[in-house]
Amino acid sequence: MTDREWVTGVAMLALLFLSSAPPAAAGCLPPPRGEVVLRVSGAIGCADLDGEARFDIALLESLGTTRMITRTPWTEGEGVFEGVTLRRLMTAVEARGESLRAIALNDYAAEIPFAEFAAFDVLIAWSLDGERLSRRDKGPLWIVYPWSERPELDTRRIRQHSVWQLARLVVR
Amino acid sequence: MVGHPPPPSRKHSRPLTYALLTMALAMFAAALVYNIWRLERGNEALLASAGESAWQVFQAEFELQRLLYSLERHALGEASETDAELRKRFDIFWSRLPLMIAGEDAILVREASRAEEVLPEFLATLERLAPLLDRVRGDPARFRDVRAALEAMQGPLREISLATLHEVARRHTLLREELAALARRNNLSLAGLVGSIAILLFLLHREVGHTRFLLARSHLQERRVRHLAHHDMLTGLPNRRLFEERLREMLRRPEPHRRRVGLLLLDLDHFKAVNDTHGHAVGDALLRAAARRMRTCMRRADMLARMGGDEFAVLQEETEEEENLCLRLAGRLLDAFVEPFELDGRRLRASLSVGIALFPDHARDAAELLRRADLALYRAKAAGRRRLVLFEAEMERDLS
Repeated sequence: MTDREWVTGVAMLALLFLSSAPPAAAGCLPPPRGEVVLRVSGAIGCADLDGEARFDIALLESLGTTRMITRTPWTEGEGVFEGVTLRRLMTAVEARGESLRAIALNDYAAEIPFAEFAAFDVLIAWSLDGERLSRRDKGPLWIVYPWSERPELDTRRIRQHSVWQLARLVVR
Repeated sequence: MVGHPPPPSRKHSRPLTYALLTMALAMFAAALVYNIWRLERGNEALLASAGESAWQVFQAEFELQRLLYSLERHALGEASETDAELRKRFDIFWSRLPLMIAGEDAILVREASRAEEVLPEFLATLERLAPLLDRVRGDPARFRDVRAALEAMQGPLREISLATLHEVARRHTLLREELAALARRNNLSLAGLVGSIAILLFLLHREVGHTRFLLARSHLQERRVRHLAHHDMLTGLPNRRLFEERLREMLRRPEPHRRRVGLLLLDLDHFKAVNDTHGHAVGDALLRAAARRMRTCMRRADMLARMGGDEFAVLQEETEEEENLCLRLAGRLLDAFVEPFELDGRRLRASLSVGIALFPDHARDAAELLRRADLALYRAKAAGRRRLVLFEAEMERDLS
């Protein structure tokens, strides 16, 4: 082979390698197969081509399920919630922000600073006492705080952050 | 004179007491302010929960409105108003009902209205309507049924909402009145406390003043007693005790500070005769006048004392410049007694005999000095009175 052929070969190899590289971290999460229940957008490293990370329940479960036993201001007695912690979800989508805008199905929105779920678990819950949360009763996703463990969280502000019928999260 | 210790001072305890009282006042005031603040905070929370109750009902009304709107558009065949969208609206309205039935922040809704009676009926209706939703499109009769059933909820919901609002307003007023009453009570307590502390401070102040007065008085009395112990009552002059004390003190001084000390013993000639002829009152008056006259002859630093009876003594420290100060003083004293005394209209003549001894020339200690001055005085008297005699060594030899 001549020198010229060598150079062309290396250049073509390089081109091949570059073109096969994934576009900006997309696909770091598998695509959802079931009904999409949560869409995360904003300052995240792990987004699809629309700039969103979309989740069905199975995908959320695959991030790791956390159980939390707590009372809430809207339910009777203590209940066993299952969900993924906000912290783990933010890690999974490679969030690079300081706060989270949580938007409900009815367009209700609350602004949650990252600091709020840094020190303890805050859950995006999908089941209560073994039953999926239904849309008719605060489902399919509900942001739940550990009220039983931390009574000081029972404030108006935190109650407003406990968004039910959660549909979207925007990191900023 | 002998130095007096300063009176015991309690000065430091007063500012402390004042500071403690002020602190007590501040603490009490802080407690009152905290009370009001806490009540206000509590009220805020209560009012906030009242506000949340109203918000819950408004949300329910609003979602019902949106559901009806969605239903109409769906029935009219709007493409964007899919089955899924309609079902979402339906579920969202549904979800508001359990919140009002069980939510802590909707307590007021349940207390103020018939919500607990009405809302479960609503839930039953929704249960019935749910399967019909999918078949509303293209079935006007079914659409009208569903719409009528939903519209029937608007009236009662409005009632619940108005009752809740009314209750919120009522509690607002109630809490405000309670707060005002507490503030009034607090102000009264504070005024009471300020008053009682003021009285306390006043009492304390008075007490301290009185204590100081007592201390000063006892100090004065102490001084008086001390003075009496060291002075002669009649002439006010230092007595023998103080004189000897002072003499010993002076001779005890270390070498470089010690000067020549002259001791003069004075005796009023024929004093016994004055006493016998004119009485003790005149004798006493003469002693007083004689003391005053003696005093005028000497410097302030010289010490004049009454040793007892008609005997006086002078203690004089010589200065470096003037030699024989003692002899000159003695001369002045003799001269001073040439003039007669005017006592009670009586003219009385008196004269002095003076014996002098010098330290360290004639003696090594106070006792010796006194004895030798006394010997000189004795000589002066023996030689016919009204004269001064300086001690000489042979006087002692003559004696033995």
